[in-house]
Amino acid sequence: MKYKEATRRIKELAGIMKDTDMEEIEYSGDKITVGVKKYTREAEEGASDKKIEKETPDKNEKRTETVEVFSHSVGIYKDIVSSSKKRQIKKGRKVKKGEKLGEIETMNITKEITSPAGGIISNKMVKNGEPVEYGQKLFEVEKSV
Amino acid sequence: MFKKILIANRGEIALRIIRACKELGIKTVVIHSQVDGDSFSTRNADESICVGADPASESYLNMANIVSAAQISGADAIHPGYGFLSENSHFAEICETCGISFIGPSKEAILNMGDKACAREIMDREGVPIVPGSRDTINRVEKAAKIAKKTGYPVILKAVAGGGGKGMRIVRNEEELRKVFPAAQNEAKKAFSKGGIYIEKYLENPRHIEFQIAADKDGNVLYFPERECSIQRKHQKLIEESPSPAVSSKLRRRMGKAAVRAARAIKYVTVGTVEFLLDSDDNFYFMEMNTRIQVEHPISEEVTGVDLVKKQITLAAGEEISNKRLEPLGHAIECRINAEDYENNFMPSAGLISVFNLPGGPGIRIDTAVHAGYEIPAFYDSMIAKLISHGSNRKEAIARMKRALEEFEIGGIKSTIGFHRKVMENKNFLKGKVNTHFLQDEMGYK
Repeated sequence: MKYKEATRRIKELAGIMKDTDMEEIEYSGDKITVGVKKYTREAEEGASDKKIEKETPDKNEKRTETVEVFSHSVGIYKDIVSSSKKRQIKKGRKVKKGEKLGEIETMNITKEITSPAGGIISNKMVKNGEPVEYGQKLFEVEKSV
Repeated sequence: MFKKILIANRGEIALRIIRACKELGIKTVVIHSQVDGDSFSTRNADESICVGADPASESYLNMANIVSAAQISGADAIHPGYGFLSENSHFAEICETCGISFIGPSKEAILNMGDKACAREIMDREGVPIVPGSRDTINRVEKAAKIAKKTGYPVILKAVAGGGGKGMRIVRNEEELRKVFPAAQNEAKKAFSKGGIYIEKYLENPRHIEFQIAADKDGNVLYFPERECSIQRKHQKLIEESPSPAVSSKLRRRMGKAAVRAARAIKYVTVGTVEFLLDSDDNFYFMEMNTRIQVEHPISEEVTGVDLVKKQITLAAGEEISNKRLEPLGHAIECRINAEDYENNFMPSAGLISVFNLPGGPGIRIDTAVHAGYEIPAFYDSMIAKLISHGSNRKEAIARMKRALEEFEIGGIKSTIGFHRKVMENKNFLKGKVNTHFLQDEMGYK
C-alpha cells in the first residue's frame, strides 16, 4: 500500500538529512511525493501524531485540534446509508463525540466507527466499499479547544 | 493452481513462502503487525495488509482480521507457515468455511495429532511403534511392577496430571520401584491434587529423529531422508542435520515406512513431519507429528533437491505424488542463529542490528529476513537466521559450516553464532555421537 512506501521513503530521507546540513528534502516518485523538514521548536509546536493543535496569533480566533480516526479491523468500509443528506458523513459535517461515522465489515460482522471527539470532519480518507487495513487513517475531525 | 496466496506469518518463513510463490507464478499478500510494516517480507510481497497491533495475539493470531484480509485481497489460499496458526484446527476450519484453501492438512488431521493421547492411540492401532508403558492410571504398586516387568527396566513414573518434573521418577529395578512408587504418588497428589501415575519405558539417551513426508489426496505418501534433531535446549532444536549419522539405510527404510503408515492413518495431505525417539539398539518410538512445514525443512531440500514449500503448495492444489522415497545426496546441517546471549542462559537480545555480514561460498545457504539496521522487535521469537551448509559428505558439510560461522558477523545484539562454533569443535559432535542430553552432558548447560 502507498503509505508504506511513503514511510520507507521518509525514513530514507531522514537518514540522508541526518548526515548532511540540509534543512529540507523532498522525494517525488511515480506514485508518491514525500518531504522531510529538519526538527525545530516551531515545527514541534505545530505537529504531533494524533492530535494536531493549530495556534493563531489572534486571541479572538478559535484554537483547534485535529483528531485522527483509525481503523481497528480489516475489512470493507461502508458509509452510513441514509436518505437524509444531513446524516451523511462528509467533509465539513459537524459531528458529536461518539457519533457513528461509518462501519467496517469483517467476515460478515459489522463494527461501527465512532467519532472520538465532537467537532467538524475536516477530512474523509475512505470511500464506501473500499477495503481497509488495521491502523489505516479514515477521518480527521477538527475539534475546538 | 492457486492465483493468489495470503501468507499468515512473518520473518524468514514469510519470505521463504513468497520466494516459492514467485517461482510458481502465484501472487502474494503478506499480513503484518504494525511494527512489521516495513519488513523485508512486506517489501517483497505483491501486497501487504496490516492486521493488528504488535502483540501476536492481536495480529498474527487474529483469525477474523487474517481471513478478512484474504477476502478483501481476493486470495484463494492461506499459507500459515510455522508457529502462530499453522496447527490450529479451528483456523483451518474457518478457512474452509469461507471457501479459502488452507495450505496444510485437514482440520481432523490437525486435531488428531494435536491431542497427544489420541495420536498415541492411533499410531498404536496402525502398528507404528510407541514408547511401551501403561495406557491407564496405575494406583497399586503390584500393577506397576507387573507393567514395568513387561516393558523392561528402566522405566519412568509420570504424574497423569503432570508437568515440571513433579511426581517423575526414573526406576531401574523392581526393588527401587516398590520403594519410590508411594512417594511418587504422594508427590503427584500434592502437586496436582491427583495421585494418578502412569509408567513408560525410560529411554536413556535417545536421539530425536524425524521424517519429512509429503502426501497427496489419493493417499500416496513419500518419505524423505531422516533429520537428526537431537541437539536441543528445552525441546527447542538448535542444530539439525540430514541424514543422521546413526541411521543406516536399512533403518531408514524401516522408520520411513512407519512414518508413511502414520501419515496414511490420518489421511494426511501436503507436507508434515513424523517425530521419533531412537535408542542405541535401533528401537524407535513415535513421539508426535507436526502438521506443518518445519523450521528445519531446508536441510531436507538440500539433500534431495526438492523444494518443500513449492511441493506443499502444489500438493494442496491437488498435485499427485509419483515416487515413494528419496535417497540423500550428500549431507546438510542447519544452525539456528538466534538473537540470544548463549553465555547468559540464552537470554533473548532484542535491539538494533548494526552489523550483519553474511557468509557465502560453495554449499552455503542462508534463510533470513533481517539486515543491518533492522531492529528486532521484542514481541516475537528470537530466531533471526538459518545457516545451512551442504557438502558431499558430513565432513565437508561440517567444514563448510565452520568456515561460514567464522565469516558470519552480527553486531549490535548478542547471537548464538559463538555457541554453534563451539559445537562444531566438539569431539563427540564430530563423531556423530549426539543425543537429546547433548547440551547438558557435552556443553555443560542446564
